[in-house]
Amino acid sequence: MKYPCEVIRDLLPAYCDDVCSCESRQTVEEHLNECPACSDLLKKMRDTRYDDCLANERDNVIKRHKKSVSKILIKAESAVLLLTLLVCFTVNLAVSHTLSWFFIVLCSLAVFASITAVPLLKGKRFLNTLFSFTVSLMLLLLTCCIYSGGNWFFIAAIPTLFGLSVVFLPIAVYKLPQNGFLARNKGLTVMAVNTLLLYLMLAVCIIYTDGAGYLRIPFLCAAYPVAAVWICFLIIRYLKVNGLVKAGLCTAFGGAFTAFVNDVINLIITGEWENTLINADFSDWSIELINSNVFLIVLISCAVIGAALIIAGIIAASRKKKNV
Amino acid sequence: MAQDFEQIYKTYYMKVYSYALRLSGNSDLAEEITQKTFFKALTSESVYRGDSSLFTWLCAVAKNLFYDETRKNKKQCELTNDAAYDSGMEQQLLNKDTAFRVHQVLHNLEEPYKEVFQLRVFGELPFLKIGELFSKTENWARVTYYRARLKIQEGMEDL
Repeated sequence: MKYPCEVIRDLLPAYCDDVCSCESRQTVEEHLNECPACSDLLKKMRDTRYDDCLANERDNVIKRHKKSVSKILIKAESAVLLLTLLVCFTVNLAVSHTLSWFFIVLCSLAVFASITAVPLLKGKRFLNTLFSFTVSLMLLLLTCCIYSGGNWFFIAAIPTLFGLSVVFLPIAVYKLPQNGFLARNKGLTVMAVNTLLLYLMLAVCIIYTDGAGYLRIPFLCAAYPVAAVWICFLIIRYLKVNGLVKAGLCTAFGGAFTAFVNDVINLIITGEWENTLINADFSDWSIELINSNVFLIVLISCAVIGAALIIAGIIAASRKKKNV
Repeated sequence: MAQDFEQIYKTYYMKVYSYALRLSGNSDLAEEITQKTFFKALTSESVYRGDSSLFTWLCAVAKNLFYDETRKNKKQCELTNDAAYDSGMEQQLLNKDTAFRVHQVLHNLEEPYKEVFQLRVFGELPFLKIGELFSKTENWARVTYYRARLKIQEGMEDL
């Protein structure tokens, strides 16, 4: 044996954790082949029975501790909320002989509870919290609207829903248990709901400002970018080509979309097609022509980058085929 | 930083639990005492003054809680629970028994083995951090931890 057992034994912990150098690893393995005592020691060192026993116990103990903490928090919060409600209930009855602003307090406390207590409860925390928060927030808006004698409920509620849905719906759809068509088309669901809410929001805002006669222009103006997002989404999600081709298509399409945005919006509002791009003149950067120049540059560069990405994608795909 | 706190908290929590388990010999009671100890530590009027180590203070709180508990139990006529248990429960009891004995062996371990082992197993601290706590190297912590593991195995065989 080249080395005494003591030297090898100092190396064993590092050897066990696979953090020693290649050379020491070889040395240890050579020694282990010849020395039964050290092999035996290694076996003992790798025996994590008691570590696992304690770690397992730790996980259980900590889990129960967390549970008891959240139980106490929920109890404390319920007590505070109930006390507040009781006081408001009595005062409201005593002062105005009916329940009026009590409902506003009730709903705002429900919003508070939905983001503080609900996340502590068992079950699908995210979905439960999101659902109870949304519902209680809508109720709060409704009661406030009713008791202030307003007619602004929808104009407050729909944009709020739209905002919440843009941020949280993708996560919620991802977490929601579902099967069949919806499970396979989560992106489509999110896009459809958000588009619907966007149009609802537009409609509500227009109606609220007494502009019901002018629905056509805002709807069409919104349709242009919405259509662009939809087309990119459909390309990315449903086209069966590789990522580079998808990126190329989206880039080229995005360029074209940007280049014509002024013309299309103009067409919708005034009914005339202006054709900004035709006026482009790279020797003249005055204020009248700067738009045309910039849009032409965007169009050309996006087309070139897109084409390059598509070609790269096709090459990559054919290479892959060859390898298979 | 938050993770550091969680690790240290876990280590302290399990150390106090280990202490309460040896004191009471009953894992359910030990858990209850530990929970109460940590609530007391957070809320009580007997605030930690820093004149002893935090762990010693927590142990003192746990000890008092344990004495309160035993006094209460003496007053009540203790009901022995001979519920019939199936094999799953038997396995669970066996695990609890093993854990109890490991805690005892761990308690009798000399320093720094005891502390290093607790930091590693209860707090899941990386060796580098454990080494830093003792102003030693990462490798020192690793070697010490493995020696502690061997010592515990020996202790368990001797029991």
